[in-house]
Amino acid sequence: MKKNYAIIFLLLFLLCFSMTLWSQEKEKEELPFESKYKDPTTKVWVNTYGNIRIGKRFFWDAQTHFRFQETLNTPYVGQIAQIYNRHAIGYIYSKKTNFSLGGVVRINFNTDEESTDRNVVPEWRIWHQYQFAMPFYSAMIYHRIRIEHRWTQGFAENSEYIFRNRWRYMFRAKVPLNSHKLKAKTLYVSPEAELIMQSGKQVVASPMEDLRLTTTLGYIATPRLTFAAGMMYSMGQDLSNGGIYKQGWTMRFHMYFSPDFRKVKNKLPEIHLND
Amino acid sequence: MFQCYKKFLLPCIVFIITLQLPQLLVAQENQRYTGNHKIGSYYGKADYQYFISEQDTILDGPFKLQRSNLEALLEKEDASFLFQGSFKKGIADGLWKFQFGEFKSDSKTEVVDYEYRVRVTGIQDEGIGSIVDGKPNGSWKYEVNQIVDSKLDKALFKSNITFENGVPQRNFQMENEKAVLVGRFLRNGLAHDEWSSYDLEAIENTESWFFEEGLLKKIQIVEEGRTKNITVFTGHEDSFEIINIDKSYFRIIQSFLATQGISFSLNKGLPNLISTNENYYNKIDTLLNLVGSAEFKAQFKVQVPYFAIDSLESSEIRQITADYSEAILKAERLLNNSQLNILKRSDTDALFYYKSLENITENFLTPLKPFVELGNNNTLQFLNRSELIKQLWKNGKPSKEITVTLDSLTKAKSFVLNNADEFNFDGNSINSVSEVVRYAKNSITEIQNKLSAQLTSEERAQALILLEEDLIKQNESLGKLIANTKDSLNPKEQNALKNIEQLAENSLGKYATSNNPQSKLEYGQSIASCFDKLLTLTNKISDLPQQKRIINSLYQDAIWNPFMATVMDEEVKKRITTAYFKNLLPFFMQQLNDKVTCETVEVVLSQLNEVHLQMEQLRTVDTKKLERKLRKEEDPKEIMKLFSEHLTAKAK
Repeated sequence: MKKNYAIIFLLLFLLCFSMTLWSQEKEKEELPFESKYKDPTTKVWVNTYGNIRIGKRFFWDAQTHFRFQETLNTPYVGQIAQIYNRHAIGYIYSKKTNFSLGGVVRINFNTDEESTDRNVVPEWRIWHQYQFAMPFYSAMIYHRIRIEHRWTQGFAENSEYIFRNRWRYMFRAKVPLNSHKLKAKTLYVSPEAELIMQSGKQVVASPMEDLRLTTTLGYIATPRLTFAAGMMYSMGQDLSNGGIYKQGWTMRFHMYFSPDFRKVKNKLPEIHLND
Repeated sequence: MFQCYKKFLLPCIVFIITLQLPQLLVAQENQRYTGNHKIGSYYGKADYQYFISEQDTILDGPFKLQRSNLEALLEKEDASFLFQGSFKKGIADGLWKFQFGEFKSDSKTEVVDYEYRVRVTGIQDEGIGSIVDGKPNGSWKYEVNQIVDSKLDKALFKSNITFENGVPQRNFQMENEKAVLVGRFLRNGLAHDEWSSYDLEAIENTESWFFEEGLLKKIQIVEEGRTKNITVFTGHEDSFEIINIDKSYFRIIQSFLATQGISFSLNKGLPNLISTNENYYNKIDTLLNLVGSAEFKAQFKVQVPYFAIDSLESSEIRQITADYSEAILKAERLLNNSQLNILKRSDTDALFYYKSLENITENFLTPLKPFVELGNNNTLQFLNRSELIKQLWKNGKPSKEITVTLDSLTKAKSFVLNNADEFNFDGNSINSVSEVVRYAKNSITEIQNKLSAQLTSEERAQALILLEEDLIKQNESLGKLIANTKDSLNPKEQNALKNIEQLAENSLGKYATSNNPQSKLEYGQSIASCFDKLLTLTNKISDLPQQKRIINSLYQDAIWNPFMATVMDEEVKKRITTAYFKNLLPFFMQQLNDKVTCETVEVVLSQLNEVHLQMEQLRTVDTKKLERKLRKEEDPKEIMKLFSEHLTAKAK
């Protein structure tokens, strides 16, 4: 099994790095004398996370995210900016460790109301992720490493795809509030911090794409269904000028569901992975 | 430029997913279980492989179940066991090893090569051999050894038998502390030639059974230089049947010899060794059949004469066994009745009936015992019945006139049934036995009726005193129980207990004011049995919080939540638990809140017991249909009906 993954990763990396990208000739931007922070924008994310069990050790990771961004005419909630379709096949190594590999199609909408460019452009990604959980007193701590290979293009007519790699690390905790452990009918609070670095020919002075600091409040309705909502502050360097920092405040609403349609359950003797 | 990557992207994703597919399919094949497991009374750590077919767990592949407990050993004693072998599609197949140990320890430990050692003393059984298609195959060894200070002290039993597909072959050997037995089989498993057992302490003493193609011709016993030959079957009988050598076979031989006037003991020599071995083989057979299927029998085959039984005879035999048990039971009850034993000292009538009963038991019933036992074992068809019946009463059938002498001064007195002429004891047919036993039974009943008037008035006075003591005791413990458990219950349950307490008080009050001794006794007896039920129900209600917890935890399933990376309990079959908690339990308590009588107590008790049992059963069966029906149902009686119907349908 592990061998298979190794081969696949190797293939993908070869694919990525063998690409020769012709960077667009661009005018050089002057770095400002001091770093500049743009005014924060407000966004609203509504995300669904599906984790559909398809085998003893495999699951289908199916996520759909709707991301809204404020515009001149629609402050706060804003208008639809991106729709994500993120899918992967996940492998459960143990109850505390899992890996995923899959693809993303993101539809980007042009939120600049004055723009005369295209309204909708697609964005493509291949992603793989490594997640580790650790119990910590009554809480759980999660480390998530996610690597994305990303092809994006601007809204301008005939704009070329540019290729970037994203290197993401997220640290998250889930602390039960009204119970001694994470179980059904439990409220929990979840602080998280994620750093997203990027690399690629286009990335000259802005390797820090985003730093996200989030706190969410969640409720485990059943072992298969959880709701959460939170607020996120984010900041990161502008791709075109490393001296300029974007900022954002995002309201996030999440639904997590994990159905298991397999027929082999409730069969005695019960077997849970490797215990 | 990007076009070329887009070309790769889709095939690449498809390629990745395709790579995973075979893994998904293989995952449903044989699975392995390691953990606690129970077979019969053996509870231990298991490690086995299985697959699931139509919701059944079918063992397939290696199997191991074992237990040993050091703590128990050091504290008192430990019963250890090990069962190791393998199954093929649920049938035992492969090399197997069975070990049963019972050990004590002197608790002294020593360290040898980085290991703690504890010396044990006890007995270890061990059976080793191979099984093919559920049947023993090849050489099978069973040994029972006495272990002293972790060393083999002596062998208490040993057997070594060779099988081919379950059929014993060639020679076999068995021994215990006292004797060794050797013998041989024909290829079809029939006993043949001389089977000899030697006394280990006096080697010249032997017991030999001579078989000819399974038919036992002769038993030769050599004891202290004297030889005794017992001729058994001559081979001139009309028809024969092949059966296994087991305890029934030995009883047939014993009964046959008895018809020849020879008494023969089964507790030593050959029968003892073979029966011991049979017990050990049965132990293994039972175990294997609890987890899979097997036919683990020694299957030593022999021939015995066969005397067919027709349907009339077989119904007569059934009647004889039934009448015999009834007669014995009644006679023993009367003979042990303390009132009668006192009465017979002062009352000559009572003494006469007592002696008559003794006479009937001794002369009518006791001689019949071997016949009834043979009938119960279904072995009468292997014996010549008229020969057998002839020797049951060696001095002829007993007389219908049962004569007893009361003392040396008075004349002998006789007991005869009025309709004695209707019974015909003549001949040695099964029918004649049936007549004898029926006569005995009717006589005992008649004596019982004659004695009852005298016994009951005496008994009644005694009984009232005992009853009152009982009633007061029961009422006290009821009160105590209710006072102790009230706090943990909900208002409805508390109210039910209050009503039960009230009912007990009221009944006791009514009993106390009753004056007629006869009706007082009857009423007292009825409330005594009611008090029993009240106590049981009170116990049941005070157990309810615990019961609810049991049901709650039973209807939980451990679910792994991928987002939390945590195993969580999930409530399952919610409609069933809701029906139980929200409809049924309140309904049961409501019945006790309305008006409590002994009848309602009995009803609620049986409802509580039955529903609790059903809840346990419903957890394991498929209940999709039932849950659909429960969606609209709120009537508790309908719900109970649905529960029962569903379980009955599933049982079919």
